[in-house]
Amino acid sequence: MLNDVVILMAEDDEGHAYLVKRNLERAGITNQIEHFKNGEEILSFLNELTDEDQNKNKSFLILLDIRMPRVDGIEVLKKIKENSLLKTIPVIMLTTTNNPQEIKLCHSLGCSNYITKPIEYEKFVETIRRLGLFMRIVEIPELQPSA
Amino acid sequence: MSLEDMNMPSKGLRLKRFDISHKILMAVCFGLAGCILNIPAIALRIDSYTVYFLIGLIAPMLIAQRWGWVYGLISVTVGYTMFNSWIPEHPGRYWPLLNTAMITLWIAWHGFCAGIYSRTKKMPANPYIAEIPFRLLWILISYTVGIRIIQPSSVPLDNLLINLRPDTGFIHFYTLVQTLNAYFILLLAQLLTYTKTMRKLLRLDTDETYSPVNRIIGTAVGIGLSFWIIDGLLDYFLFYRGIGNLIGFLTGSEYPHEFYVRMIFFIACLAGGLILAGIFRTSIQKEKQFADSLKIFHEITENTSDIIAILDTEYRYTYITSSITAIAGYAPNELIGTKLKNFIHPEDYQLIQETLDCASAKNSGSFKLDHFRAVHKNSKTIIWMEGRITSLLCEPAVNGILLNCRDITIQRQAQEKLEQSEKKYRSMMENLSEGIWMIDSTAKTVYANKAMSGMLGYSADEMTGRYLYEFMDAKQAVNYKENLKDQKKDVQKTYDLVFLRKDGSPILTRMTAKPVYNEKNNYAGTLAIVTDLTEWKESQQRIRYIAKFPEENPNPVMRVSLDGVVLYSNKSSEPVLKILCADKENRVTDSWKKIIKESADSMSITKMEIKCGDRFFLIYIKPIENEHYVNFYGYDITDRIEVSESLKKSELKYRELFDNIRDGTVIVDMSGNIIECNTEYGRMLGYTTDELKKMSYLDITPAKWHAFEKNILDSQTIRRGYSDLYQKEYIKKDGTVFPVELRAYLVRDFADNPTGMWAIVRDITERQTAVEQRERLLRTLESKNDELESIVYISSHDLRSPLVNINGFTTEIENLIDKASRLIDNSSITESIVSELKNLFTLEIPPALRYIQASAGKMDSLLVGLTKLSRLGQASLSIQFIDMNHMFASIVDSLRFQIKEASAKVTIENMPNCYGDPLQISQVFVNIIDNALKYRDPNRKQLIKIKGETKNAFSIYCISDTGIGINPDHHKKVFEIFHRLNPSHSSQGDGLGLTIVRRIVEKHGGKIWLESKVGSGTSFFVALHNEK
Repeated sequence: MLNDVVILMAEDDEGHAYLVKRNLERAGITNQIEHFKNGEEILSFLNELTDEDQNKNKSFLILLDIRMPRVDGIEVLKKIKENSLLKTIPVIMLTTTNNPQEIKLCHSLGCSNYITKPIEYEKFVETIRRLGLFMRIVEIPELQPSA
Repeated sequence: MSLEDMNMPSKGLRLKRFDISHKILMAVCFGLAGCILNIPAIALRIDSYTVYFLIGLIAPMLIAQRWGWVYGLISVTVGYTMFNSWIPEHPGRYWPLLNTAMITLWIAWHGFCAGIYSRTKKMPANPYIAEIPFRLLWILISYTVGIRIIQPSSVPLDNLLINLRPDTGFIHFYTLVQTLNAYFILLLAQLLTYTKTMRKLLRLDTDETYSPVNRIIGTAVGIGLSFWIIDGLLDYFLFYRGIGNLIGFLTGSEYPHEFYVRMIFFIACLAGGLILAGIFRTSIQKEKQFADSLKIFHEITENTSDIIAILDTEYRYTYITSSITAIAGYAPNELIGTKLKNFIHPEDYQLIQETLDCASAKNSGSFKLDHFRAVHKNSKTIIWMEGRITSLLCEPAVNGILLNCRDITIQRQAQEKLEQSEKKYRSMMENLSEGIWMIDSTAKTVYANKAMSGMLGYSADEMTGRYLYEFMDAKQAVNYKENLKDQKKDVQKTYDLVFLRKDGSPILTRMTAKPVYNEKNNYAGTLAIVTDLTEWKESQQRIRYIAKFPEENPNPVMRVSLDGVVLYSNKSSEPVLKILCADKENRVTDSWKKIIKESADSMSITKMEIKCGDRFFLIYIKPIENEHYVNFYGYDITDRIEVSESLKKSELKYRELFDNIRDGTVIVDMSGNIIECNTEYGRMLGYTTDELKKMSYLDITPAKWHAFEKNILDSQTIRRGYSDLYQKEYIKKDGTVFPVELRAYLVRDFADNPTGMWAIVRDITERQTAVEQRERLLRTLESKNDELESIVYISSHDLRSPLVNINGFTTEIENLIDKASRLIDNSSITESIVSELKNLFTLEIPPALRYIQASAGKMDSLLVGLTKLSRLGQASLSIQFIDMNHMFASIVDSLRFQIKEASAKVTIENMPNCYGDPLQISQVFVNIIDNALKYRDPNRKQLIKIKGETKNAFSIYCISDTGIGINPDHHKKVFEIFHRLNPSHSSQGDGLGLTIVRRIVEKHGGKIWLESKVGSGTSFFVALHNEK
């Protein structure tokens, strides 16, 4: 059951996505990670999700980049939080900009956390873990990650 | 509280006291009548309740209605106290006493409520509610006082004069019935007075003095009356039917019968009502008469041309006639409550205030106000008034000061005019060069003007009062007196008289004297006009002298014979002679001879101007009858000529100024026809000044400005003589419309009537172009600023993004290498380690390195793009004419390969040309076409259509494709720096193409925009200047 928590990551830069995946794996987070190349893709995925019941027993955690082609992360966050079925999914913003106004905007829209790149993976994993504890998504590994 | 106080309108004047004693007397009489009529009722064993309701209550209520509840109170009190005191043995005598008290209270209470309502319009407007507190009191009294009074009597019932057995049960019943009765009556009254017709019938609406409360109570009483009559009838039919008759009752032979008794009371009531009605009618008539007279009074005061006003002790208006409107422009209501002071001219108010103070101190009396000034509402016109102040402070009805004024402005003006004309006349007399001397019937001097007194060496004052004879010697005086005897009316006589001057010297005068008679045809005096002959005689002599010596005449005098020989010429005629004779001695030229001949033949004076050297002469040639010569008289008019010459010059100078002024100047008449304009004005419009003089300024103004300009003319130019500086447009001769700025001035003639306008007009085309250019510059700056901001934003993301990878993957490699070295260190190399290492070096490290390389490469391309963009901002344009057909052909040619690869089709229509930097412009279109080739729809063939059109100063080019299209949200974003719509194409572009395109177009002062529909294609529009 615990492994049924899926991490959805929207990231237009392949390299970033690769690094996030690698570091999460290294930290012992072995959940399924779905990678989307822009906001449009993740939104269509989420829309299908609400339509179909087959994902009923799955939980999700979303990692969002902000500057993406087609639909940007803020738009995706807005859509998620507007949807009554999706709004409980925790969202972590991952972005290279550290504009305070943008941070404020994301928090006011209801993101769970805001992390600027380059990611301090220790802090990032801790955040995921805490959110995961709440959602029971993280399988505690036998070995503590050396990060 | 009397009716008058409560309800009469306070407006207007009315009598205060209305025969109070008369009303009291009537009230007392009705009270007594009620009382007396009650006695037989009791004696005849009739329930007195009915009776006192009929007479004792109704009559007082009617009285209260008419004159006020005070009088009703008097009536009811008198009746019942008297009644009760008359029947001392009455066992239940306290009971009627209580009733009396209660009914008295009832009337008093409703009167009180009505009074309060009329005054404050607040409490208790509704009689039903007003009844509640009273009823509560009634119940309280019935149950406390009532029960004590109605102790069961020891006297047997038969002996009771009242047919009721008073006990507690009775009290319940009685109180309940009373209350219900009261409400029932009020309700009926309300229903009855509901319609207007009914109110009219009951005469309740005829007089506005009835308040709704009084109306209901009044009707309640009426209904009560009928109610109790019906009650009586019912009693009769139920209990007394057929017993006795009226004759029996009257003769005493039969036992009386309640019905008859009630009938009698009813008739008595009716009679009373009739009497009352009579009295009311008289009083109504009196009031009507009063109202009529008041109306007449109002008519008189309102229609009078005089102003009648009443002032209070603070000198504020409490009343003023409407005549004030015609005289001073105020509406009467505007002035009421304001102070008199505001209306009076400040210089005259002091005097009026003193008079007012005097009047109010005395409390009576009337004071005349001599001419004073008032100020019209427009605060400009002065109104002359005379008036009278009458103190009516001791009149309680008026209690004010009556001010009666009359507008005498016209008389005053007439008087002033008269005074002025007299003054004018007097000053004319005074300044006359002839002496004017007026004497009375005794020959005493009444008036002598300056010339007269000056002639005799006296001052005018010294002469006044002295006899005419005192100014002549004795002999002349005797002669003159003799002459006086002969004088007749209307006969003017002239004497040559020698007067004696103050210094004793004689003066010869000619006196024209005319006797003056008064209305009664008696001789009143003489008016004489005296001329000093001394000087005249002298001048006569001088003329003769001059005639003798033309030689000394300063003007040319000549005599020329008809055959052209100069017979005589004086010294001054030398310059003229030079012209007349040319070089010949004493003989005039042939042309002059001809002129002389013509003049002599026609025997008329010939007049001409000639120039002699630097001097001008006016020459008269006068033929002399029967003589063979003509006389020449010349006048030197050089000065006059010079003056007019210089005048002409100054006009020329002015005209030059007018013509050379940098701005256009135009003069038009009131209907807009151009009368005069300078050359600049003509140049500006492309017409000659002569052409313009046949036109109206409306002909050269576009129609959309006509209303605007008319408004300026009406609201500014005509009103204050000039307009603000305003902008409009003119139409040139070639039809071009161009902006101008102008200010118009009104021209007035001597009588101050506007005759035309003149205006200074400036062509502001250049200025407007400058404004437009500045705006374009501002827009460029703004977009540049936007771009800068977007660069800051992008550099914080897009430039950092590859860095994140470089950073991340370097760490990644570090980890991998660390792992690898640990593998090597910790164990001897086994087969598995080898495969692990192989895995590391072939599968894991290479992608990390690839990412680092790719990111570095990406960063490089971003930086290259940025440099390109910044270079574009610095590069200067070399604007020249571009043959666009040629340019598009070469662009398509250069993109031949890509077009073939994309298997697209490009069509080019005939293109308008434009101006721009050919290199940069070609870059624009290469980029757009290149984009069209990139973003094609894989499902269909890409068709690229290029066409163009001309609109105003722009050539607009449209490149439309049948590609994938752009979402409306992205129409603006596509021009943003580094924006890529489709990352899958990222390898083909750096995200700068359209940013650069927009920069180039905007630098050229052009515009780029797009229209697109997802799935059907995109059209890019580029607008470029087609003029340099």
